[in-house]
Amino acid sequence: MDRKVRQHAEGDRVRAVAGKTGVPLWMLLGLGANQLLADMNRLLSLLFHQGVLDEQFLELQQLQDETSPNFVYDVVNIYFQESEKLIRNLRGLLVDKEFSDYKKMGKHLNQLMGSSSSIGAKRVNNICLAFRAASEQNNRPACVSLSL
Amino acid sequence: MDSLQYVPQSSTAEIEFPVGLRVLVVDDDVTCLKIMEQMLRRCMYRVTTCSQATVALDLLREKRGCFDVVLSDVHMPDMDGFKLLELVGLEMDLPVIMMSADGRTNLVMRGIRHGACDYLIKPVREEELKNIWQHVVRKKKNENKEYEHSGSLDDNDRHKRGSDDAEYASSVNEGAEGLLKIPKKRRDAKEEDDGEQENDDPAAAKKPRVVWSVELHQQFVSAVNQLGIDKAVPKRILELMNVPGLTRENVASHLQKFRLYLKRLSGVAQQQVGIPNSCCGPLEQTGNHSSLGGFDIQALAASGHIPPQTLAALHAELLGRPTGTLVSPGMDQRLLQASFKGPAGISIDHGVAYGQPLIRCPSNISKQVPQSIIAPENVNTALSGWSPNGPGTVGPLTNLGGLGAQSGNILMGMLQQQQKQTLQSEPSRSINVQPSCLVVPSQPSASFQAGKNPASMNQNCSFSRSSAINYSLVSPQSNNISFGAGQVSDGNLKTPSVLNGYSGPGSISPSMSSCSINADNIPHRQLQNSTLASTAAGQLPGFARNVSDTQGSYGFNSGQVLDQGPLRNLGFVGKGNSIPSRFAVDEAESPMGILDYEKFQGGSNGNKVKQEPSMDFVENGKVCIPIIQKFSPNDLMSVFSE
Repeated sequence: MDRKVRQHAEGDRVRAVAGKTGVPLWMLLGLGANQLLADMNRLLSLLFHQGVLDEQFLELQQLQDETSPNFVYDVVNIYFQESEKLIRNLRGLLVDKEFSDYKKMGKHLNQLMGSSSSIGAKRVNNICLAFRAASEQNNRPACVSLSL
Repeated sequence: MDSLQYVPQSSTAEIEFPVGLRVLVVDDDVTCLKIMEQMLRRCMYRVTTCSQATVALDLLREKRGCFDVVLSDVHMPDMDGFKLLELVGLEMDLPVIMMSADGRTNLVMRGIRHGACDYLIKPVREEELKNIWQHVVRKKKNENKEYEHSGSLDDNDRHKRGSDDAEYASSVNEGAEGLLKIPKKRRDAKEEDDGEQENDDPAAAKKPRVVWSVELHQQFVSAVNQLGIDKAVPKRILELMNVPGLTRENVASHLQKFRLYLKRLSGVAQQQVGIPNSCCGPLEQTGNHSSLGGFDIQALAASGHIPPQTLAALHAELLGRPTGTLVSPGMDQRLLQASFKGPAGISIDHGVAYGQPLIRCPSNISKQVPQSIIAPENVNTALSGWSPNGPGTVGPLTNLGGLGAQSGNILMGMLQQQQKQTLQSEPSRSINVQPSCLVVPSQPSASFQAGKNPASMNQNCSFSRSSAINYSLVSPQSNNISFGAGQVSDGNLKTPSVLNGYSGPGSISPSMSSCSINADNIPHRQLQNSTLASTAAGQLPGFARNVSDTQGSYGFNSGQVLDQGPLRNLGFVGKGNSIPSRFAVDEAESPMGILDYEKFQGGSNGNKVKQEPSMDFVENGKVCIPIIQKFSPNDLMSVFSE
């Protein structure tokens, strides 16, 4: 009886928190946390396996501490925004028929490489490398095919 | 001295160092910026991030001394990372670490050339950042060394800076700033004369595209002088130089190198002072031993105890006294004048006093120079008259050598007067030329002998002439302001200054000049030149030994010169091109010296052999000129007192 009450009170409190933060109730209860963590690890290992990510991402995870609890989340978000911009720019450059500014392209690529390598986006980085090689040879078809 | 204050400061800093290192990260890539920030924070550094290079620069200018190290991306849209690096290097002289995903060698090389102290390839790992404090320390240490050498010229400045730094001037930074200032100040004093000294710098600092020829560098230096080294910014220098095809970037990087070079130079100069000084005592002794009256005074002068005025007086006396037979008044006067014309300062006077005997001999010859070839008898008589020791001894021989060399120089002077425009006009080259003279001997007499008559005196003449010819060959590329008779006398005069130990920096110039020659000449030549330079140094030892037996003072001089050979080498440190040659010099010296010595002793072609040393000797003297010029009297004095 006593235990039931306590559970009930706990439930109320959790529900209240859930209401405020919008986080799913089952997560706050800790019911799914382990499950979620396992999922994430599985996903990550898959990504590692596929060569999408590399160990740099683990470094990133290790950088996350109590002073910045959402560090990885923040960084990856920023990365997505920035790289989206960059890719848009790259595409814009390639769409231009009489495009010849491979230097500018190189700069964009370098930035994309810098950020993707920093967060451990290995595959993006590899593509960028090939892209850059192609752009250095002014090889437009290769660039176009890579940008797809 | 202020260094006492420093020690505690820096040691307290070291306790918690590198915690709290103030790092500025500049990267247009926000992702990287964020990651870097976090990483650096993990290293317990104080991090400031900035996504725009221009903003970063403003920040750095605004809060001078509030950062210890700058991390900068290479590719940034608003400003090239290298430009930022350059500006930071020039304006606040902070260690700058470049980073980029692009780790190709040429790019990294560019970073190094622009003065980056490190180049990190993205992804940057935390371990790499944990280590960046070393650059701060290293920089500080380098400057500390300099500081110790140069003494505290301006405490005030440093203190000012310290208080400016306000809240957290971690003493590292403060120290670095303060230290930085001092060499700069010193540079100001010396600046004027840096022109010549710099000759080798262009060779060393040569960039693939822009070749900093001596002339170009001269322009650069004069522009810097005009602006003042602290205010000299690449853009303005470029404007002043007004050289088509030269970019601001070129100038900027050259300026940076130039500053580094000056810094290094001031350090070296300090180091060199010590040794020559210690040699002064022996010198005096030898002077006393020498049979020639003039030498005592010279030795004294050399030791630097006699003030310029006294020296001048003595000199006048000497002039009056001397065995009039040898001295042709006209010549003497001219020479004297020339010598006085030389750079202002004590050293000159020393030089005058010392150089006198040498001058006298040549003066005799010089009269005959117009007749193109000196008759052997004449020279001989001059020799015998000149040196009481008698013709058989080494002493006279050396004199002869001196004569030959000088006559050569005089000849050159004559020639020059005829060819004035080309040769005389340009200053720095004179140095170069002299080395070439030296070169000739090293290439040795063998060739000469083959070409010329064995008659010794004639050979002398021809020899000197050939050197003159060499000179003329070299000269087209080079500037020679004061090469004529005046310079010759200067050269002679300077020899004593070498003794004084002032020559330290000067001694650098010979090798420099050889370097520059190298640059100008054919590769084959270059090799010769470098070896020549070394031989010049090397010959001296042999010379010294021989002479010292018979004629104390001369022998000693050469010995001293020899001493300086190594010093000279020191001067070269840090110059890419010159380094190899320097090493060559080092190694070559002893063997060369021995070789020459042997030649000397063998003495089959006595005259020729002697000539070589004498040439070297003279050359050394000349070499000294630039040195002296560089150091203003004040500097010299301060150095001395230290």
